[in-house]
Amino acid sequence: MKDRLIPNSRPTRWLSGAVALLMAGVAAADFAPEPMNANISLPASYPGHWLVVHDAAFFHMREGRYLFVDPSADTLGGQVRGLLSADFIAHYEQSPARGEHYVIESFFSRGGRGGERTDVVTIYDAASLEVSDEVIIPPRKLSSMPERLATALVAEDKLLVVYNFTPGQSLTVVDLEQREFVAEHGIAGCSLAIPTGDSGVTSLCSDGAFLTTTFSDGGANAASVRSEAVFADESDPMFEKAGITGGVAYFPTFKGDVLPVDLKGDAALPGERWSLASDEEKAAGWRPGGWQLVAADHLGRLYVLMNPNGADGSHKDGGGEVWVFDVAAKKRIMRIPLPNWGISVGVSNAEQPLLVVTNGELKLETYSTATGEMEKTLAVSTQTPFIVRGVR
Amino acid sequence: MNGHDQWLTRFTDAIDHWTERRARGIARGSSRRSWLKTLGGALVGGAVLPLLPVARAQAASGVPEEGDPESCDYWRYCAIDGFLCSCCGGSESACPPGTEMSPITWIGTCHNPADGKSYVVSYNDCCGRTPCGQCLCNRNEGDLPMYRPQKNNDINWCLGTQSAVYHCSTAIIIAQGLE
Repeated sequence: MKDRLIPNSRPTRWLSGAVALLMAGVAAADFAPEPMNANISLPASYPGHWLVVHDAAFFHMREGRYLFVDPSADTLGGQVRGLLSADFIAHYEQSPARGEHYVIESFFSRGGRGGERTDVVTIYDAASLEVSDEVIIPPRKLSSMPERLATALVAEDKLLVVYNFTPGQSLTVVDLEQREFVAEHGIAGCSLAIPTGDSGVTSLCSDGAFLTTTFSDGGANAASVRSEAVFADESDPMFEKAGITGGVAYFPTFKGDVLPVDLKGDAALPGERWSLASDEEKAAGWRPGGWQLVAADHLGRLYVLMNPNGADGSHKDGGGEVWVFDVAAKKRIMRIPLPNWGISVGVSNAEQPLLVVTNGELKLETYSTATGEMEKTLAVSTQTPFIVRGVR
Repeated sequence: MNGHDQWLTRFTDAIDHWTERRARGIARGSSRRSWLKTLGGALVGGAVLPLLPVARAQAASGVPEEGDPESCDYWRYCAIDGFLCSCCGGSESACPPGTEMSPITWIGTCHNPADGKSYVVSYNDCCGRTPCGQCLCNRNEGDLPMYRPQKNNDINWCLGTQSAVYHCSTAIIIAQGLE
């Protein structure tokens, strides 16, 4: 018995020591295991200076994404707040009132080789970024390079409108309250869907007219009004991209004019063109250019990417400066020379808006709109961030 | 250096080269100096500009040609936007194996330096495989905005095909232009 007591005494001493150590640890740090399945949530209402970056992932476009970015943060981890999947060059809308994001995307049953196409409105909760629902829509949504004006929220964000191109042209209407597809309305010869009035969208027609389609009966019915043909001039085509502020869309033209179109009423009302550049500047070669070459902020300022070497076919090349205009005065108020060539511009909805330029190396640069000074190159890494906008 | 780093390096080199050309005042004059074109040039394999012309026999259409169909500078590509099928196992006028050519598309009118004439070029997309990812090329001579779809190169024209997945773009001569 004595012999057996000796070895028994060893584990007793070891256990005593271990317990003592454990107790000492608890006493020192109040240790508790970290919980599993933890998730970070976003605020229900996003800070106004945040950005939404559409990385179309053009080289593998089934893996696109929308990133929510805080440009005020200095670190990559601080800048990237979360992201949404966006298959096959999707479209995007945000409704702060409903606390939701909408990604209008395409899925293929056989992945990269195709198969059955299913178009879906994927609905995300803004705070959790969890998919809260989805609505399957006709598999006809526009498939193209990223396009900001291909979808619209109307009727106080109750209806989502999606532009279709097969090449037949139509509008799909989705009821976001009932979470269902409502109807499809033809808009032969016209493209895109820009929110107009209380419950309508405006499309751009091949003959140079604006077509406004107004929805009734929850989107089941629609009536349309067509403007005069005001942008039919092929010698100076109007871009299909616009900066929208104060209910007016400002469409630059290839050679440096801008066409304002009032979208506050039940029909688009084209205004008078004015010039973004002097005759001398135009003669020297200054023209608008880029992918998303124009943006506007809530202070009534229009931002246009300008190319000093404009020529036939330069309209998507990008530019070396951003020119800033006061749309009420129809005057340029600032020139922002870019240290790197720019291909897209966007602007935040902060009280003091922030200008964001996608440069030729596909990095994102931020600029003060008060001074025009460059602030930083964002650390966030994306492949083809063609469209940047502010969160709403 | 992994593949991603190599791609970034080539792309950065391309931008540097482009900037140098712009500083020398010779960059513009045609839409060929677009940033995407530069990217496309970089992806050909590091050599940006110029690629040596490749003497060619007549095309199937009987049109005399010169230039390199793997280069974004090739005359037929004056209004193309996408991955060149010539770099993807196809050619300037044929789809890569296993893909399907879109029956509808957009057109451009390009000047052929070999005979001084203009030709109508149909940019049919090839569909049914994941995007090729080689030789991205964007030139926009005569390109019009999306409200004129038949002249717009931003649209995925994999329409009317079994698969709507875009793979690459061809440039097929379909008519002689009016002089």
